[in-house]
Amino acid sequence: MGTRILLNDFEYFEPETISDAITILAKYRKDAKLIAGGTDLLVDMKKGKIKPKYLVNLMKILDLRYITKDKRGLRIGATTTFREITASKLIKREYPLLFEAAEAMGTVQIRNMATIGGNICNAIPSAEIPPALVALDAVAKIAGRRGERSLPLEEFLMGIGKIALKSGELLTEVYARSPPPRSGTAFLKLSRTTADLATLNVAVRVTLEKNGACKEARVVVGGGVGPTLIRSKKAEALLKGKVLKEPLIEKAAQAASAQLKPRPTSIRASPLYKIEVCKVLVKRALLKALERTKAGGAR
Amino acid sequence: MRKFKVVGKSVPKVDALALAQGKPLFTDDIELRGMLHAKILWSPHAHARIKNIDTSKAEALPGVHAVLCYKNVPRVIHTTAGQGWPEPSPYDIVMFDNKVRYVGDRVAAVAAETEEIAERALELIKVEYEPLPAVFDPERAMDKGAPVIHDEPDCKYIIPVFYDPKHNHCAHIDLEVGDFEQGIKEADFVVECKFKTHHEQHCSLEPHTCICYFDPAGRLIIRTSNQVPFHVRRIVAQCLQVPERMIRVIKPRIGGGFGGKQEVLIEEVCAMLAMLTKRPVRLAYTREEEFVSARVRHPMVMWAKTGVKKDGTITAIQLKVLSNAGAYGAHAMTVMNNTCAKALPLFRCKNIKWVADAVYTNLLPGGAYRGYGVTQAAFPMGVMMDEMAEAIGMDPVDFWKLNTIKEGETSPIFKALSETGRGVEMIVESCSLPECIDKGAEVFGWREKRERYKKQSKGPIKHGIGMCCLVQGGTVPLIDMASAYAKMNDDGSFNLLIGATDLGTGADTVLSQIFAETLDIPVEDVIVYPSDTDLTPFDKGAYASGTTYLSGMAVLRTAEKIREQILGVAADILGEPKEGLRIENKGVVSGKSGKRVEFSQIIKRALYGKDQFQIGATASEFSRLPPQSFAAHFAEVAVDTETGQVKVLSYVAAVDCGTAVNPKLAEGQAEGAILNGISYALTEEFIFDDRGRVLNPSFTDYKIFSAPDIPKITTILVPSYEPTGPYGAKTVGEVNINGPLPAISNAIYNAVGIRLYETPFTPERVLNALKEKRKSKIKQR
Amino acid sequence: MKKEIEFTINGERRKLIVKPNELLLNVIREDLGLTGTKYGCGTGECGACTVLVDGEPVVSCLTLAVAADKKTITTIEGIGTSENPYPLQLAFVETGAVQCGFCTPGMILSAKALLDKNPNPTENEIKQAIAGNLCRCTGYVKIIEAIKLAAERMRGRKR
Repeated sequence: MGTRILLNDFEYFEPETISDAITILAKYRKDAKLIAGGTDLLVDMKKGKIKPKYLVNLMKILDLRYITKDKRGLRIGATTTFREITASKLIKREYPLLFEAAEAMGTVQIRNMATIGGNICNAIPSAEIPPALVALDAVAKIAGRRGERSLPLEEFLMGIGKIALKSGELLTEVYARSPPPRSGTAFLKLSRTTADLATLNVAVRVTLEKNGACKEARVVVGGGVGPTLIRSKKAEALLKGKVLKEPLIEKAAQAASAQLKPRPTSIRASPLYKIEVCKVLVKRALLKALERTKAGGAR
Repeated sequence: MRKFKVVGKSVPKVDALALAQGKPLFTDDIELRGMLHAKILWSPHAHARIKNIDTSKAEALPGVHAVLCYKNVPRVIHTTAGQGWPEPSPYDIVMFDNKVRYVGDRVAAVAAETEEIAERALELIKVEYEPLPAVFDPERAMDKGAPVIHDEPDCKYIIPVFYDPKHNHCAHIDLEVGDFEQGIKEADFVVECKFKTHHEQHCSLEPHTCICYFDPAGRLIIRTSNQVPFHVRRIVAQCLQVPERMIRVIKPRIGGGFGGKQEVLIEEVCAMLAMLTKRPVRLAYTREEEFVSARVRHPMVMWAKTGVKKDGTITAIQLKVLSNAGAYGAHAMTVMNNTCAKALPLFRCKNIKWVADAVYTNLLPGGAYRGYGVTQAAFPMGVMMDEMAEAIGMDPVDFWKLNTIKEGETSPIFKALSETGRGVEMIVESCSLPECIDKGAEVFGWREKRERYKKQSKGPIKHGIGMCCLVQGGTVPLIDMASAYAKMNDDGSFNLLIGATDLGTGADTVLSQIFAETLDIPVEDVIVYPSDTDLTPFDKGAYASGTTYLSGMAVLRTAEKIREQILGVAADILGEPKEGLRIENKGVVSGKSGKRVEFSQIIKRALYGKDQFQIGATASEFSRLPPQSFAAHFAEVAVDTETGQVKVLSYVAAVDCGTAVNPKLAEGQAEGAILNGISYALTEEFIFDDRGRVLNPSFTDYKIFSAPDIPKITTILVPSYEPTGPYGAKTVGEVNINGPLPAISNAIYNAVGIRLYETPFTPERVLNALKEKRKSKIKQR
Repeated sequence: MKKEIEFTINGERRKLIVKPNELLLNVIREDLGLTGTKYGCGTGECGACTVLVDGEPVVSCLTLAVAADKKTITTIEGIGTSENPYPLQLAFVETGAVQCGFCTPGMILSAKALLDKNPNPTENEIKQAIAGNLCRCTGYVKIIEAIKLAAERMRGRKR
């Protein structure tokens, strides 16, 4: 199968509203596939991995492309591009974790094309933005024929290429919770080259009590560490309520790393290596996040 | 040293503006009326016999014009290696065979109205395979009972060399100068290690592309992205069993080659399809095909053993080489030979032993790759030098300087072996390597950094520096030939027709400069036209760092002949003897009378005035000896001891390429080669599964460096003057790709005390070595 | 089922009838004959097929032609003229940033998009801006130099 042409024939739709999109999806069900930026989908189609009969382009639906905030958090429309995310002053200022993760994804060209919804729905294990979103307790908003529903992003992502969308549904928005006061976050990516997919991604958030103890923590690891990203509740539990000192952070990092189940055949690194280095990255990320709680500004 | 007017100046590359404007210059940038599109079916098996192949359904598909396979294509055994005749590579391949020898081997080909139809037709070809046991490990390939990859009776070399395909033994040569064992006895320290290097793809941004069509006279035109147009003509004629006069090969601009296009990889199939369909046919590889069905750098297993005295004298060097040729032997012997012929003359040592084998395996065939065997050998030798320096407690800079060849010296290797077998005796007449070492070390801050990094900071990141010296001989002596033709035009400008093949290197520019220098004209007055087998005279092509040196000499000689003609006409015009005249700034001046006559007057006289004739000449040059280019490389790395990641922070290369005809282009050659080398040392890697399939055939998964990954690279050109080269020039294409493996390995050792003998230096390999080191330390206690 | 699309390419309005599975890269090269845009990998990794869509660099090998409907596209043929090349093109020539030239069109377009927004980029910003454009010949050293030089000249011109 060549990458010079797209062999697969399909019928093409460009709905302008969410409901029109849902109608088309409901009609063609499994034969239909949504396309936004196309940077992952078209590669898979060129390689013959998927052969949709109907392709539904969401990019003409203006209602899906926005970045706004409300009292409790940040709303990002599903077809918002990575470039729009990295260019958002609001995100850079108030959600540095998302900014860092979005900037770590791909190259200029890919960030111009790829969308947050597409990135989430392709459910590629090495994706950068999902761990960051999960660390911010993000929720996926879904629209379907029977109305809307929401699901924590953690539950939305089910496995490699597997998501919790039912036939006829589409992801409309990602809602990220605003980090509480005294929070610090950090995103670390390990990869062979700058433009490579991640060998390992780590996104963490720590939120402190007024007395300095850890009120809440999020430790999320991605990058081919299992069927999907891993949120280490064990690590989070270890940190909660404690004053964060290096030995404890190391213990939490150990706990997170112990939960990894990398696939045996990975091009980027062996499972053993990932498990080993996960400890290092989680520790570094937690220390950096902790540092940032002290700095106050960058959360 | 002589003063030049054009040589030594960084004139802009003659084709650069058109390229920057995206003009249609490449093979694929034309579209011919009625052009068909070809696609190739590849083997999914590493080793299998084709019991049957049914192409009827594919042939019946509307829009399909031809399907080729072993059933309808004559079996002509040949080599795909784009080398001079008789090729020093085994004849072990046919266009289509009833056997496949690696995943990605050619099975069938289709020509159809569109690429889409051609792809669909491939899916309709039914192939019945009988899978055979395969062998992937070169160290197992010659084992008793190993599957025989070339069991066909007709495989052979056409030159008298060792060949034993029944045991997958593709090539063997050994030699000894002096007495190695005696040398070991004389040594105070003996170092012995095993090394392994890995596969590498060229990753030219332009994939292999070829368009074939017939001219009105019925001759076949092959427009192809290839480094060796004249060899393409010869080999395609051989495969198609047509006379060479029926074929014309045109090389447009090439989007990078690096050796990958020193191969007849697709031209003969494209030509055969054009012959059968009587239509223009286009065959263009995809990126995946570049990774699974093109050529790679030969991976090698090497065993090195050296002896050194406390005073720094190297008493003995032994290098044993096992090269993994892959499924076909193109370039296998010559690449193997270069691990000695072009790598070992660097070292001042009386006792050298070299034993080399190349074996067939069921993996991707090796081919030519920038460095051509020297890259592989430079790794063990560069690391051994570092180990020996350490053993005797000498700074590597001093140790390298002491033990590398100097101007006026010779090496017994020169005579003992060349790339193809027989060597030539030679003395190194130009060598600024000692200055390269000094200047490089100074700019790099070697002594200061060496001191500084003795104390490492407490954190996980450790710093280190390493160095190595390099050599690469240019051309294959007594074999390579280049030629040029030039004629003068009405206005005093010149057409320069060269067989030489610019593959993005700037050869057209450099050769124009040499021509312009000789006739004292500006480069703008040279209209260069390269690489067209009908119009330009023969050139061996772009390989073996030969273009500036050899094609440059051919151009120089051509210009000299023309100068004589110009002076002759001028003498007639001025009524003065030729001997008192000289060429100066587009005219001829009499030293005696001070009279001057312009080139435009001279050519008008020659074309229209009196005793009319075309001022023009052709000249050739063959290589009498391989000029040696040198370099000293210095690398500074940061090693993350917790993740194993290695980052090259700065890299300095001091390069002796003789006279740099165009310094900017020479620097560009060095910078590109260095980054390719660094990327190869750290990240580039083929990943195979246990059935020999490439798991990462894309730029997504096979990673080469992009701009944010680069270290600070500094190139210093340290001139020398090569008396046998054009205006003192040598070569610069290859030598610099050989440095990063040893320099980085040595720098990692300096930073964290681990020696990496196996490439690439991935974070995982570094981390494992660090663990081993910790374990062995515990054991020692 | 073919679709009619209309876009502006290099300042010219074009109407085309395309199949939904046609890639913008192939439409640009084959239907419009603008061959400065190259196929290098087909998976969006090498950037040889980079074009500007509404001023932003994208990879045309992963863009459906139908999705380019109503957009404004710039290819390498659309910046500068033969007589009056774009400053980036001249800077690439002068600094020796062009070797084989296959990556050059895409590289220059990525650089143009950067300089249009950020006339005075840092070295790191330049590197990031061309991270999606692979070059195997130059080691990027002279390309970065060329972009710096062009930026400097373009700033001078605007003043």
